[in-house]
Amino acid sequence: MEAIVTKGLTKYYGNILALNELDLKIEKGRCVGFLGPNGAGKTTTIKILCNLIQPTKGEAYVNGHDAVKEPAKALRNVGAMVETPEFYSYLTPLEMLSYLGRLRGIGEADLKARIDKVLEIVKLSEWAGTRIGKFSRGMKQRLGIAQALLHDPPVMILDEPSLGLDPRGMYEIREIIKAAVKEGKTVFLASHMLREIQEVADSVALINKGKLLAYDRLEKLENFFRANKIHVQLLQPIAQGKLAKLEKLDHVKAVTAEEKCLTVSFDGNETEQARLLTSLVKDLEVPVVSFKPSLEALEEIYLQLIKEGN
Amino acid sequence: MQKAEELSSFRQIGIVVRYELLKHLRRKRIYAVLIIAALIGALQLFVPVIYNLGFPTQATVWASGFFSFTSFLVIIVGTFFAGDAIASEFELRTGYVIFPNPISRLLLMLGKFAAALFSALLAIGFYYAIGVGGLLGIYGFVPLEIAASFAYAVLAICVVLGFTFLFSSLIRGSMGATLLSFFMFLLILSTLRQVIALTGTEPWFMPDYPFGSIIQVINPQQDIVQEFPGSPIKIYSFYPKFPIDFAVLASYSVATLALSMWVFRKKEMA
Repeated sequence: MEAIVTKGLTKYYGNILALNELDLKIEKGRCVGFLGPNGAGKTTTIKILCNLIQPTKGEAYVNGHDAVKEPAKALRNVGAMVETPEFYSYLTPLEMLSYLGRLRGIGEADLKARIDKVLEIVKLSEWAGTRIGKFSRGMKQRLGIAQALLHDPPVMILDEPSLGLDPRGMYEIREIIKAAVKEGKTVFLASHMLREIQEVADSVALINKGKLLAYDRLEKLENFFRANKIHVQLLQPIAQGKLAKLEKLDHVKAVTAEEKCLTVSFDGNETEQARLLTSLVKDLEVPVVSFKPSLEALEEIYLQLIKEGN
Repeated sequence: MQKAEELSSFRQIGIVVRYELLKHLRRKRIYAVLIIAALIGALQLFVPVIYNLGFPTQATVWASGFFSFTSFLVIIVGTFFAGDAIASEFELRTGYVIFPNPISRLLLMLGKFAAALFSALLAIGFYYAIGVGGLLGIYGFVPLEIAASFAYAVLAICVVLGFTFLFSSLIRGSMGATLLSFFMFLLILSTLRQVIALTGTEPWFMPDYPFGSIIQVINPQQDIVQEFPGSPIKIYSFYPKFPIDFAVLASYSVATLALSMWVFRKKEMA
């Protein structure tokens, strides 16, 4: 069963087409990265799902409920964070989360424990009693995540959750999302950050100019576009003879060597990747320090699709 | 965690009211209007004593003078508590956090309206309490008409809140909505009313005309036409009449609130 479905979702802002017949199905328990350049239609899609704007035409369903016609039911089991969240500046995180928790019908007995837990998760426990008006953008972003997690929702819709955070904050948010995915939650994550998507999402939906360009499992997209790159760190520079042999191995399209680093363009799957590593270490006797698929793979797909879309 | 309970509309409205009241308290607006009410009341009570001016012999005459400031207070408190109720959710972007919750905008607005009404009533009630205290202190009794006057004041608050909520839904800026409503009641409508009255037509249909019933019910006056011999000029003084005044106030309250809800439901957080 799908957690989120859009059918022919279209949105015009005046004469500007922001979303063009978007068809999307997100199965329960999946983490789908929603990628696209600025103005691609990511936030517009999320805003429709979250009852912030109305579509010009088309349908949107969350947990089987029409997000436009019955938004209260559709959003009942959804934790959402849209754009950089702003809160009532005169409330403290404790009061703000109590307000939202009560609106969602969380019992008083559970509410305090849940608030403590989510504030701990986002590392805001010691700020629980401070007015939000004094918070930095990053702290508000963390509080945004906390309110999305408050009712332990099975579906999370997150729009640029790491925006405005320092590298440590970004890492922590990624870990929170990973933990949510591990718990079996459905996560729909819009982001500009390819690394973030690549690290937490199992599927990617690529959108540009309001149109869905591709939507599939990440590894399938990578295979389809043959954009895998593998970075290999060596103990010492590779000999020319071995480099020539490496270039002739199955699925290796090209190799660039720079000092103790190799970048292998590769079009094989995970099993073939394992074979490549074995060949490097056993057959070619290359001293490998690290071997990891490049994070550039998704970037290449992304740029290629955007270019084609244009 | 236990499964969250599905709340009734009434309980959801109650939660919104609670936190909206907390907003008015934290932002000290309630204290501000209470101070204004206290100052106006104190001036009317103590200035005649200090300057030895004396009080009218009839309690209703004194009361109509004292409560003639109610309309002004109603406009201040109404616009004060409602101006940013809806607009701020869009202007300050707090709607991004509130709207994706399982509460309809209709209930959210009803909660905000109820909180604004309660806060405004607190201030107007305080002013009436000062007036009642004055009546007891000066005349030793309180005319029953004061209760009717208070009822009209409550309806007048509903009209001001209704219009201010409508502007707050239509306009993105809280300040714009507050000022528009404030000047509409204080200047625009009263000017229009006077222009209409000049033509000899009673402006019974104007939203603020029945505000006059707040004192008319205490000290009733008859419509007057002043004629000047040898001149075609006539000056008309009209006074609101029951039950038209009541119906006009109730109609504007309901219509503006309904329209605000419709606008708020359609308004996009773009």
